[in-house]
Amino acid sequence: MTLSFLFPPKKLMSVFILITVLLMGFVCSLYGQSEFSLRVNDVWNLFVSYDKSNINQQIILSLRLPRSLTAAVIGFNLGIAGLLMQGLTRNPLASPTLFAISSGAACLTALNSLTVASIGGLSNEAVAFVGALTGGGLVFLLGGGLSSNQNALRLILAGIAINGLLTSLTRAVLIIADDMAYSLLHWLSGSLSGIDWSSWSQLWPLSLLGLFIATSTCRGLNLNALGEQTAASLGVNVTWLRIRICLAVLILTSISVTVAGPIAFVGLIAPHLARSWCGSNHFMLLPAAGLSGAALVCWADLVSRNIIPPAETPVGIITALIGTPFFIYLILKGKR
Amino acid sequence: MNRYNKILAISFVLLIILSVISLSLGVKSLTLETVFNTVINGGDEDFIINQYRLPRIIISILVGIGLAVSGVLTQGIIRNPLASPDLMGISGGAGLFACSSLLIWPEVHSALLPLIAILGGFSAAFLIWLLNHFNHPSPARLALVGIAVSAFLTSCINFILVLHPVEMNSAMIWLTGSLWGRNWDYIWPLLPWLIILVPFSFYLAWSLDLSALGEETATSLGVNTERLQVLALSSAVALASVSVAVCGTIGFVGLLAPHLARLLVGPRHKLILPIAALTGALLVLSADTLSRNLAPPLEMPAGVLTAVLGAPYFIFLLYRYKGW
Amino acid sequence: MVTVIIIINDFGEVIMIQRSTLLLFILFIASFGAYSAQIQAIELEHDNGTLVIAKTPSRIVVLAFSFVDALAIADVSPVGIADDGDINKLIPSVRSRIGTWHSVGSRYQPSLEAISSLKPDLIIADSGRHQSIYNDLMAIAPTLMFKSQGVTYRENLQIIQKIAKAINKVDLVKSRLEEHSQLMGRLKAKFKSNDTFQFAVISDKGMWVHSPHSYAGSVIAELGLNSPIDSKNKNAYISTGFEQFIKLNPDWLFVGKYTNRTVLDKWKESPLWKLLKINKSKQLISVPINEWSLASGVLSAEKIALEIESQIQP
Repeated sequence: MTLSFLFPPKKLMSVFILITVLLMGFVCSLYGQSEFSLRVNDVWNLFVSYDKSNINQQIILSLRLPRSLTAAVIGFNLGIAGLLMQGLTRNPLASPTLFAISSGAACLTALNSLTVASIGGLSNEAVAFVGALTGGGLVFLLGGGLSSNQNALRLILAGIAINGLLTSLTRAVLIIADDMAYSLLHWLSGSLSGIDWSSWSQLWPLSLLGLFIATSTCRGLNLNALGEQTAASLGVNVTWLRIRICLAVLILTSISVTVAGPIAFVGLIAPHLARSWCGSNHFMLLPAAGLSGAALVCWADLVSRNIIPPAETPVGIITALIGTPFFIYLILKGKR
Repeated sequence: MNRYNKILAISFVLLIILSVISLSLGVKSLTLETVFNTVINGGDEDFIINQYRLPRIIISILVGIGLAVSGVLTQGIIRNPLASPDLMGISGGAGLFACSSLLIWPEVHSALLPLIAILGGFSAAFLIWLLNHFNHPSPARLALVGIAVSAFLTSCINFILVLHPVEMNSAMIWLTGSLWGRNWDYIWPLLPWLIILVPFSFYLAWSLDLSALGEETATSLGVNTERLQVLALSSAVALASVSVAVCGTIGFVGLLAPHLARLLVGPRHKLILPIAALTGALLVLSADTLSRNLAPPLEMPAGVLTAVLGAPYFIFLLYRYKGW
Repeated sequence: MVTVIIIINDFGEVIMIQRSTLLLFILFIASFGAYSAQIQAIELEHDNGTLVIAKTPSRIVVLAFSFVDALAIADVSPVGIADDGDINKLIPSVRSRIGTWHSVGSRYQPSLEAISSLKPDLIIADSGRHQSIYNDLMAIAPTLMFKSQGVTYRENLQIIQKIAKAINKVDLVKSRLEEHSQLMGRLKAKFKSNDTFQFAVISDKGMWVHSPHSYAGSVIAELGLNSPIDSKNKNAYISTGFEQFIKLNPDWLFVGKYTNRTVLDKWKESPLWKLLKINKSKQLISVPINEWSLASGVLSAEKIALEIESQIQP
């Protein structure tokens, strides 16, 4: 069976453009804006004729490459997680933030820094991960995730409540911490500056798992868009679908937030971008949303180094700054 | 007495009791007798009771009412449970303008800050309205544009904060929402708006109930939906802007109070509005009272506690509600 | 009636001869009164205008740590301090010079109730943080507003002198400041070094270097030591990632740690750590963060200077 049945030419073109944009962003962020005047030649030489003693190549290999790879994968994860959330709740305003995963990680990290809730001996990544899972788990349980009679509204409301609570606690910590606050604030806005190969090795296994689970929900999501009763009557086990979606969102978002802090807005915009280019078939939307997210974060990472050099702006701020004009353009263009 | 009236009465009585308790508790706790005497006659504790606690309590109640009513109106028009006054760019716009002046031009007189914040709130709301009006305006569209612009403005705020680590703390407190340092000077700008707009919102509530029946039904019953949207949203923006201008962006109230009211008394706006207003007032007042009394003389910004108080109660209601 | 004879002698001095001890007594009291009136009514300029202080204050409330330092070197003890509820935030050398005090809450939101219940006769507040409550503070007691958050070494010296005037300890503080400048001058002459020195605060989230526009950085600059930061950069605290740090590459790094495990531990595992000068020379020193970053004043400046001395010439 040829693929042209599933992928009409125009949409294939869009995906191709998306991949090109992503690659460009990726490569540019490998050498862009550095105090060491890195050049694209250095990138080329790194892969073609590796020279261990060349400082520029070492910097690209040890610092830039893991960072750009991580940026791309995190963007991919968040884009897909956003798509899943919007499909589950059938609400275009939904995003992974709804599940209080980012705020859970942020809150526990903040409390840990203040050594209020110092969970003995756990590394920071573990603390963030536990926080993320706790936040997400609470919303899931409270929102009736396990009950057979599900109401998207209930999930949304539970998310609002827990999110609000955790965000306020985090703010409280920021205010009490006073002098320490600005180090926390950087992380809380999403920061890629501390990424190295160990972060990458934490990221990719769980991302792969999350992606696998997400792919299995595509068919269910297509039918869910017609409404829960319709989907159920067409043979979809709605509860099991919901569990898989929530699990995928939880895994993908938790690991992303653990590694780089909460990067806002990607989960909200990427699905909309994907939808404007690729229609409403989730088999097509999933990779498109992932690629959109990845491109967004890669470019944001590049820009984040260019605004107030040599200091870096947290990447989460940039994703909103460059994503919003796109988003607004899309909304205005659409005929909803 | 039917259930609705019972809830209304209980909320009102709770508010009065809490106000009196709040007047007497603090770094220096005073007896009820001293409180009453000082309010009427002045005296030794005049500064603490009349200049410090009383204006704070009144502002808490007014701001709570303003934000809650604003929330009801916003959700009434946009009809998305995630909608809140923040969505209309209030927090974003007001926050951005206020933080810019706090951080970039700190010489600005602090009395001008509320005005600057109001200007920011209105500008952001106007921008969102304008963008929505470009092409096929609709409430759903409005929400999306609102969320985008709000997120954009929040990022601008975070950007400015990151650039000014030294002054970040003051800006953070304003962003969280606090009643610290608010005195009688802040009440006079707030009161006229509330006196005019809250009764007006009650008048709009009836139209909102009709528009919930669907656009065609509402129009056939004599409701001009376009005009209703403009009036309701303008009122919401105005109420939220002045509240935010006075005490910073206390976020949770405008989102939470309407939902709480709905879970208690059902979906009719005429019923929700008073309950939400009282709930909002109770929430902000409790938050401020606790913030002063948890670990005196340390004071937490009230905005932190509105969520810490409101969310568990909300969760409890969600859990108990059987109408899914 | 009493007659008074006034004689002017050859030196132009006026000698008063009176026949009544009562008049002598009256004149003595009057002159004393005029003289003390001159020293008691002080006009002081501060960030919010001019304040007239009628008599020497005895109950002082201060709302920032740098002001506590200024009082400590004058051997004056405040009755109230905004100490964030934690007495350990004041550095030991300051705490040992003042008596007990009442906490009036946090520096970011000090409790006006607590301040007023102490019945102070002078309040010294931070013109950055406490601008919004200036009028409320003035309603409680005469208030001076000075810069504290983000103040540099030289700015703070000016402020200390003004505070000394307010509390009527000008001579004591002047001599103490002279001692201090002699110490700093001596150390500056001793530290003739071309190495670059950098102070940074670190946590598990990142590193912030304090430039010469911050307090610690300005003290280091005052000692004649070089900074690796580009002078075009006017920020006080600069967020620094590993790549930027490699570029800065200071000869000496003083770190104040917020957490036990920090980004430095992660960076040490990278092969790029070998590029740094501090890797070879081991000139990486941990210092108490309260003294270098939180307190700003003469006592903490001396602590910083002496710490550097002990490291350069152990």
